[in-house]
Amino acid sequence: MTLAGRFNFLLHLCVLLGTMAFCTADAKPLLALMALGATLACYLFSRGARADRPPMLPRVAINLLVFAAIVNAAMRASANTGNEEFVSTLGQFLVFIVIIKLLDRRAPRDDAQLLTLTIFIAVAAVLTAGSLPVGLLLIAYVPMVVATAMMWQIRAGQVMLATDAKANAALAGDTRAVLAEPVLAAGRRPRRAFVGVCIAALLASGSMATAVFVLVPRGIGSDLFGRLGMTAQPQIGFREAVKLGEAGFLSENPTPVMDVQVLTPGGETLGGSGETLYLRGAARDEYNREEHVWKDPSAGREIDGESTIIKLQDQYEYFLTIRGTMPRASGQSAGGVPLAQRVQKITMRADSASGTMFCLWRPISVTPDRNVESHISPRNGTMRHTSGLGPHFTYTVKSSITDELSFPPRPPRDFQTGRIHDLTTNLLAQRGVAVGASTARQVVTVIRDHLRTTYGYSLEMVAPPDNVDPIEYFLFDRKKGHCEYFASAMAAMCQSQKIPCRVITGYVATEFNTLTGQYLVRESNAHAWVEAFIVSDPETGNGRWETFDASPPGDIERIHRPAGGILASLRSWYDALEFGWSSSVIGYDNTAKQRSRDTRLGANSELTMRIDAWSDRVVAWMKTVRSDPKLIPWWVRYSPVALLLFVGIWVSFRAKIAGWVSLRMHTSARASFGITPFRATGFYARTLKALDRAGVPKPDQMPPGLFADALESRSPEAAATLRSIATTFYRSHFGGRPLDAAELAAVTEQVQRLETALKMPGTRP
Amino acid sequence: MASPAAHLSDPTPRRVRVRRRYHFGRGGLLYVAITMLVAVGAFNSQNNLLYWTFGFALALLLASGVISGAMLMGVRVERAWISAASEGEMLLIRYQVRNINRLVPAFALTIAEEGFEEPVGKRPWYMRLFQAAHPATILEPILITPRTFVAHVGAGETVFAEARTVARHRGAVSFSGFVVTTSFPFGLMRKSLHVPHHAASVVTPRVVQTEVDPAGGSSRHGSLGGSSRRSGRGEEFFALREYSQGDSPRDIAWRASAKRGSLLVRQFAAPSPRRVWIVLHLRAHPGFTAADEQAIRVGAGLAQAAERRGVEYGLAVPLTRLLVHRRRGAGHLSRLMTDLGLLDLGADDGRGGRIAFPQQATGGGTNSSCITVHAGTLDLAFVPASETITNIVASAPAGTVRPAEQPIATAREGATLAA
Repeated sequence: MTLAGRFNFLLHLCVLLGTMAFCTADAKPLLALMALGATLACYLFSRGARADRPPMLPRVAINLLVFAAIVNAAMRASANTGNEEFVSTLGQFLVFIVIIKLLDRRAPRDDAQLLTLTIFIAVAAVLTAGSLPVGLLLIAYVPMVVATAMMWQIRAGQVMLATDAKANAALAGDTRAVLAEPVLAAGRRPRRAFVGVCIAALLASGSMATAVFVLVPRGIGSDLFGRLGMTAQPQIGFREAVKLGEAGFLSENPTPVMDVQVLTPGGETLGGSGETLYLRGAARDEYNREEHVWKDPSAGREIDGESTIIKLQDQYEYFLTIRGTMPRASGQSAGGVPLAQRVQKITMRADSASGTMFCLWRPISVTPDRNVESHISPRNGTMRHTSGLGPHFTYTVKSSITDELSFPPRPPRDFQTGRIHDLTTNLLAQRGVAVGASTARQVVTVIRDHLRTTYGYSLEMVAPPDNVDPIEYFLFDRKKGHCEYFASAMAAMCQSQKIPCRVITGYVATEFNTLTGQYLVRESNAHAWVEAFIVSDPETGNGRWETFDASPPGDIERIHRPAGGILASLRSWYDALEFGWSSSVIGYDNTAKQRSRDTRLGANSELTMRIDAWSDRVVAWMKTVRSDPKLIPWWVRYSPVALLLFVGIWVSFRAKIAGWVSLRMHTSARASFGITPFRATGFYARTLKALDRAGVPKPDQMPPGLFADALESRSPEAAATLRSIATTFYRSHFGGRPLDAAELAAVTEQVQRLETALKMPGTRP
Repeated sequence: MASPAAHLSDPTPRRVRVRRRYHFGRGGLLYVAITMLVAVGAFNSQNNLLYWTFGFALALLLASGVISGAMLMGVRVERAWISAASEGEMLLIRYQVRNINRLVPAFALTIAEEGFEEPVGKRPWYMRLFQAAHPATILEPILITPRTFVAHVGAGETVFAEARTVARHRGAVSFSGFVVTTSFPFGLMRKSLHVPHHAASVVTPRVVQTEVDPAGGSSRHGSLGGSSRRSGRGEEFFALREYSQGDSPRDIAWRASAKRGSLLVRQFAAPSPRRVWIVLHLRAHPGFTAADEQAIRVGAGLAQAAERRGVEYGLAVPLTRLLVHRRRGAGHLSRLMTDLGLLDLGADDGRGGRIAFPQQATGGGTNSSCITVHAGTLDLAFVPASETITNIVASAPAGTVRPAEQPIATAREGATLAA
């Protein structure tokens, strides 16, 4: 393959990788297909010998296409306002322009523009999403763009030579001159040298980029410029509120939400395929009949004069201190009985709009990986953060699975009368179960089994008729529904028998990845179930919240069962890779940096402490500056303006100096041949001065008559006058006869006329 | 065929003081701006991919500087040779490029002569912004920047490269030095080596052949010429002298020897070559420029024809007071071509005075003739009445202003025999 062919291939590959990265990041499959087709077509039409003559559309067609792309971008921009939409619109526009540009490659300059556009597109992809496929495409793109940029230098030189040869041949009227151009260095040796330089450049740049990536302190300068550079954060569809009565279908989105690792306090990994875990998100125990919504009445309120909100504002292990249950740090109950604890390390891949933090059991302690403001409700053991952390937030929760000293529940007040109450009472009567504190477990089990066996599971949601409660519609009319209906119905039925019961929303974890030892939880694993308070000691009323899932287990297993086979195994690999990408690259932050640094330098070494102190000082200064911009020194504030001024002045001087140097060179060239400059005097000197002032100086080597011809296009009047002056000049200069008074007066008048004509607009260049 | 041309090149300087320069072009500025924007975005958003992009962009900038710097540090370039050229022909400049670096190869080196007009589209953007600062160059320069490109010079290798450019019109060409530039590897920064190396060359006029034979003319002696006042191997009797050993017995003048009583041999006059003056009657008037140039080309053609025919020829250009005495030989032709190449119609020697026909051209005896080339129109007032003078009118297509852009008609179309 020739150099032109290789360059052509690399350029198309860069275009393909760049556009695919953006389309993947922006989730635009149609655009990706279009870009793929266009790039492949352009490449196929410009292969081999045609690499020097890529396909080109007529200018008119190119202009029309560009116009269409601009109109499309303008329409999209006017409809969208957000930062993410702006990046998406801009990225799409650039993809269109790149495709158009592929059909308009006339010179190496166009290739360079094409390459630059792909770089912009790659940056747009980075700004849009940081998923693994995007990362992989960008990792493939970077070496290609580096090699292409390097090859472009040689390609441009080759084209320059060819262009010069053609121009020379045209000037000389000799077509053989084109063939006589020197042949570029070819062969294996230059190619090897080129590849060597490419690899060296890539390795050096990659190493330095990694160093910058690792060493640059995080947290400095964040949010100084609004949402500049921020990507659209992936969000999970999880919602805390359980709202019934809406029509539609439950989505089965397979997007990963979080990775969960369950450990014993000793660090042994638990879990495996076939073991299902329930990740609690939100707990709701009060039903609003008007809105058909389950609510948490304790949210944001104080109960019994005691705060139910605990804020975690610093990054340390926080032990929940709940009335009568502390201390738990030692992992023992108040009575000194060791509690069976489980440690859950949860890495969120996407954030929830509500900031819900998930855990398997009620938390005893929480260790977030960064400074967060978390709200933990000791009453129902749910957690939320309000810091807007975004994805890749990792926290470790310790829970007690034999927690019998929970917060005593509030006696239920809803569903004490009505059809649901009657249904439950009849059901229990039919089964011969008496209602009481000691039979709570039996009652709950009967209700759960009744629901599981009598009602059908359906992902389709049907809105109930007006003035009909959705739970009653499910229980008495439709008798089909999804997990929220089952959970709601069970909670309602339990509460109708004065058994404290609450609806829990969260996820079920069923997909265990043996490569990572973690459960991968997907969006489609969202679920709802109930927790009922089962009294263990009727005298004291103490007991524990136990989990009951009223949904038919067969259906639940069918829906949440992970896929099997070879594809599943490949998927496990992909998930492991994605987890590594998310945690090591996308989720790399100060904590990870600190951990890595502490491992190498020691947590308490002098260097570590100095770095920390410096970092803290910078962060503190940035915070101060953000709170009061006036604290920024004036020279920092005005430095951009000063920089712009400097660049402007520099450019002006460069231009002036370049002009002056050119003049000097011209003069010195003449002097080297001993050509004494002609010194004009009298009317001729005045003429030359006038021309100089007008910005059209007469070159030394050009006779004034010829210069008059050249001036014709700018000002015919000035040209005619100059021609007359030149004639007089020739007459006196070469004729050897001095001008008489009349001639002198006439030529003086002509010079004046020339000066006037030169002042007319359009004469100056 | 390249015409003989005076080559005024300096010898290669022993120690050349090379200047190294770094230029940030538009591409580099754009790159730095994008890098800064990415950095601001990364710090603002704490987006790790942006941090990595920023790191890579920064690293590429440094790598670009290091690679191109290391490359140029080891490159040694010398101008090896400048070819002679005549108007409309290719001028070749050969460079020797050595890479003394034993590890780093050099790529994408552009070698360009300094002080010439940049090719179209190569003028810096700031030059286009400030046109007024740059003098209006209405007349085409003789050469467009001679430049060449070397794709690769391996570590420790030496390669030769040739720059080719067409000499657009006759005149003096001064080479002040050349510059070796590269923007390899990424085109972000242009690094250059300025090598001062003075040299000069003259582009001789294009040779235009005419129907006039310099060896012919109106002489009664025909094209063979006459006899000179020196003895030689001609056909005309010159004198008698004493016989000396080795003389041909054929040359013995028996009758004179008998009278004298000693052997005498006949001496013959040396054959005298024909002599011709080429007089160029140039005007340097508006509207005559193209005709003047054509006259110069016709003059060059006459000189070449005279040299070919063995005629001694001289040149007189009354306008510029140029007078080259009659000689013969390759060196003479070369000098004459150089003089024609250097004729400056716009310059004045400051002496003033009327343009008169050179008196030398009218004399010279019966063996001598003169060909006067009139630029544009026949000017009989300029030429004295003489049988030995042949007049030629060298005309050019009407409206020709720029010699390099519009080809002037060839001799057989443009040059007409007037008398």
